[in-house]
Amino acid sequence: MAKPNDLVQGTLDLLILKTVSLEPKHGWAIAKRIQQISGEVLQVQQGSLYPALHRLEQKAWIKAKWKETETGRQAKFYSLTAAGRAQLEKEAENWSRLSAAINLVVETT
Amino acid sequence: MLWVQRFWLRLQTLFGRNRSAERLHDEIQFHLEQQIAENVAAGMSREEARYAATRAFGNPTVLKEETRDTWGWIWLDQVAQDLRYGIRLLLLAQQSRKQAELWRFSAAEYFDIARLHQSFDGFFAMHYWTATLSENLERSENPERVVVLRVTSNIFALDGISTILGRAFTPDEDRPGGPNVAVISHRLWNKRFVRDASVVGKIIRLNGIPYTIVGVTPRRYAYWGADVAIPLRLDPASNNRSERNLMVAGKAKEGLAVEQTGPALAELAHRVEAEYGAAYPEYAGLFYKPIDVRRGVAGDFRIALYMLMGAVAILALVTSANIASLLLARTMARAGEIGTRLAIGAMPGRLARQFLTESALLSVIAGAIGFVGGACALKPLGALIPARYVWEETDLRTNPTAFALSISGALLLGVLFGLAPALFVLRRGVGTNLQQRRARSVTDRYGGRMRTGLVLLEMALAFVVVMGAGLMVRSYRRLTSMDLGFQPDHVLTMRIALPELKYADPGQVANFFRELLDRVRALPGIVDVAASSVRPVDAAGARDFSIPGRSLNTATGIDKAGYRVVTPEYFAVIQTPLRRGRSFAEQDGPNAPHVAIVNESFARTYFANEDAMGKQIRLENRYISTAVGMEWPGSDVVQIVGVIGDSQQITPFMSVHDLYNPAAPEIFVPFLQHPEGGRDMALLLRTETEPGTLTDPIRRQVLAIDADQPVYEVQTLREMTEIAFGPTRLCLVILGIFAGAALVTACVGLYAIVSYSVSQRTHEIGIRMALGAKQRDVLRMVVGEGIPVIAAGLVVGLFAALGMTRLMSSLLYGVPASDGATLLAVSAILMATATLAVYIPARRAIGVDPIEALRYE
Repeated sequence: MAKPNDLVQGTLDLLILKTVSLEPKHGWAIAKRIQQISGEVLQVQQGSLYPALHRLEQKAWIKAKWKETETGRQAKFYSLTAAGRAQLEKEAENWSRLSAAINLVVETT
Repeated sequence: MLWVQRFWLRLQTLFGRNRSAERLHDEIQFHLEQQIAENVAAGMSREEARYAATRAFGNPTVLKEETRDTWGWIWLDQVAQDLRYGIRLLLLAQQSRKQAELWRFSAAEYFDIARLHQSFDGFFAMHYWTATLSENLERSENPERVVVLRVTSNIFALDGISTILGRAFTPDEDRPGGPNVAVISHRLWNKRFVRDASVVGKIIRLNGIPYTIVGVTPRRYAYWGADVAIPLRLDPASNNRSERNLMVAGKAKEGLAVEQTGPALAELAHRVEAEYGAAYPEYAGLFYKPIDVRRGVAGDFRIALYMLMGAVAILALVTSANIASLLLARTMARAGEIGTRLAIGAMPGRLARQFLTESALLSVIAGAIGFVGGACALKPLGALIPARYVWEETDLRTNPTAFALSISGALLLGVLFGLAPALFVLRRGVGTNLQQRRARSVTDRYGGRMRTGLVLLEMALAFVVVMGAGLMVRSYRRLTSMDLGFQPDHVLTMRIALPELKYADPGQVANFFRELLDRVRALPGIVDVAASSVRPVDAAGARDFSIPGRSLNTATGIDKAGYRVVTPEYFAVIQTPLRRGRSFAEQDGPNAPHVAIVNESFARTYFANEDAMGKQIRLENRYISTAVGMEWPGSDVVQIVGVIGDSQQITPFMSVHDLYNPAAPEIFVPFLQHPEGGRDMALLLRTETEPGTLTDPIRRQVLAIDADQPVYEVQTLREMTEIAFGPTRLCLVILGIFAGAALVTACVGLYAIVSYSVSQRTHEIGIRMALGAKQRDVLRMVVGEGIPVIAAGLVVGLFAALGMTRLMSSLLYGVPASDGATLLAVSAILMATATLAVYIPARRAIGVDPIEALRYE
């Protein structure tokens, strides 16, 4: 009975790790970024990002810092930790293996 | 180390909870504002932009809750919340000269109480109901049995609960003729509605009647055990004082203990008695008894937990004493070496550091081994805790916190007891230490006395734990061999509740069960099958009755007795012995003369000096089933055709002491003559083998008759009886393990001091033997040194045990806390193992070769 727009949790984690790997970002920017690069295909309910962000933070894969934005408001910026980088590599590898396998199945049958 | 980092993060969130919550709010607020700003830039109006942003975001309350759940140690928060929830809620019972303790109140009685503002913040009334929940009428998809709480709207305010979704129902909805609204539990929301935030406004059906969901309760709120709450809709104008079917609970004013509410309640009872006593003679001597809800729920288990914590503390003490004694002996043995090192210029600080390192290493290793042992034992031990005492989301597992705790505990004890003797030796100076090296044959007085004292303490403590375990063993044996009045092994039970809309006519209900019984009886592995309104272990429903031609000793001439509607095979299936007359048979149909069977307690109570057989009972028109409160229009005169043996009633949360109560009077009537057994019946099956495997075949038979019909509460009768024994069994096993560990530890301690003393006295023993002492004399001398310590330990332990076991008397059944036989057995076991611990090193002493011993220096 999964909600239609729900992403598989692991996938969301991967997307977040990937998105914050380049530079520190706040939650809204992460949501925007995921929508942008995926060409609006992945419709993440924006709010469901926060439980995931906090979970990753508790796992010490990302760390957070309150900083001022360009508009002078305080926002919480997330960035990747060393452990997070290792996790990102691991998950990215898993993902490419999985998607390659799925491609193979889809194209050969 | 990643987990250190995580541990630190969790600590931060734990101690900065409020700040974290505020910051989460800020974070989400920031997000929404960004989105609104973007929407406005795209040309929406401010209002539209806000709406669109919220829609894209989802429900902030739910998401905040989910986010908070990812924070570590959320359970600490929740424990604190639980304490707040449980606090100061008192369940009321009323009692008078005519009535024994009565849990239930009538509407008018509730309103009497609700007017009391002194000592109480308020009262709420409730009434349980079990219903079949479905989501639409035509095809009842996934119907399930739920516990429905009909309750006054103020429960939410008094329980201190705000809904996480939607709202609670209002006093306006809680009036006669109010709308059908429901507040569902977090559990139901999670399980059935998969945390769907749009559940508010949805319509659910309870027994086919539609209710609109208006709210969801927060997580970890027990909700009085209910899945759904609906308004009770009491009529404030009600003057009904005899239909007692409500439970009443009140919240005491802050800072008031249970006893302190007594005066206000007594004054109220007095007023009610004065006002209505004339019309209602049963109010004579009325008083209200407040019962702490927490105490009522945790019951015996609380005592069991305290006892286990006590056992843990004692075992820790025994072990610490042992560590102290062993390390003391070790340090003393090295006194000479220390003396030499100090004499040639070692810094005391450097020496202390060496001791510290040694004992720290020792304790870390011991702590790690202990942790691994604990981790392995966790699953089997966790399984012993009766399920109803474990919150369903509870996850029993080891984690870094537990690991850190075990290691730091071990480290603390090790360092404390390792460093103390080292400091003692270091501080007494070079001379004394060097002297000890030479005077080896003279036992070190100070150290020796200290060690003897420690071992004595260990023996005494071990006695207490072993005594506790011994009492639990005896009590458990009494419990399991107790005659229940029926045979619970190999009986499978389940309940089936037929929906009222589909089975409107009692004839349909009778047909359904007749067909089901026939089908199930034909299954392989089934010996016999019966149906009954209430299962043997459950509390019976209650039916008002009178005896024609006689006035019963109550104000109205009507009394109440346990009441079960059963099919003829019932007594054979549970194997309750028939004492007189006959059992029910197929011939006791609707048109035959109406009959009844009573239990011995009924016969004894109401026909004390005469024969109950052939006597008539008039069943009055009030019947309260435990499953459904029910009115039964029409009375019925039945004739007693049989008397059966009494059986034990076992209910959840009962104390083992309730088992002493004599059985209550009960009436049994045949199912075919009494459709008021209702649509909610229990199936009882006696099977040839273990009944577990038969659940699915039986479920299939039910579905073959009616594809939409769920069965629920599938349990074996043995499991149901075990409910009462759970706390006892848990204590038994854990205390048994602790007792064994304490005994072994104490004996190791004893062994160590005797061994040590033997090794210290090798020289002396050598001289004695060279001078002609026999082996027997040496043996006697060495053993004789240990015996007084053991004896003293036993005596001290005996008195300590007598004091301590009294505290556990509420967990014991059939055994007094100062049971002589157990005391004797425990003393014998301790004496025997302790003597063995002394004897082994003593054997070594007599093996000493005098020449070797004299040369040994």
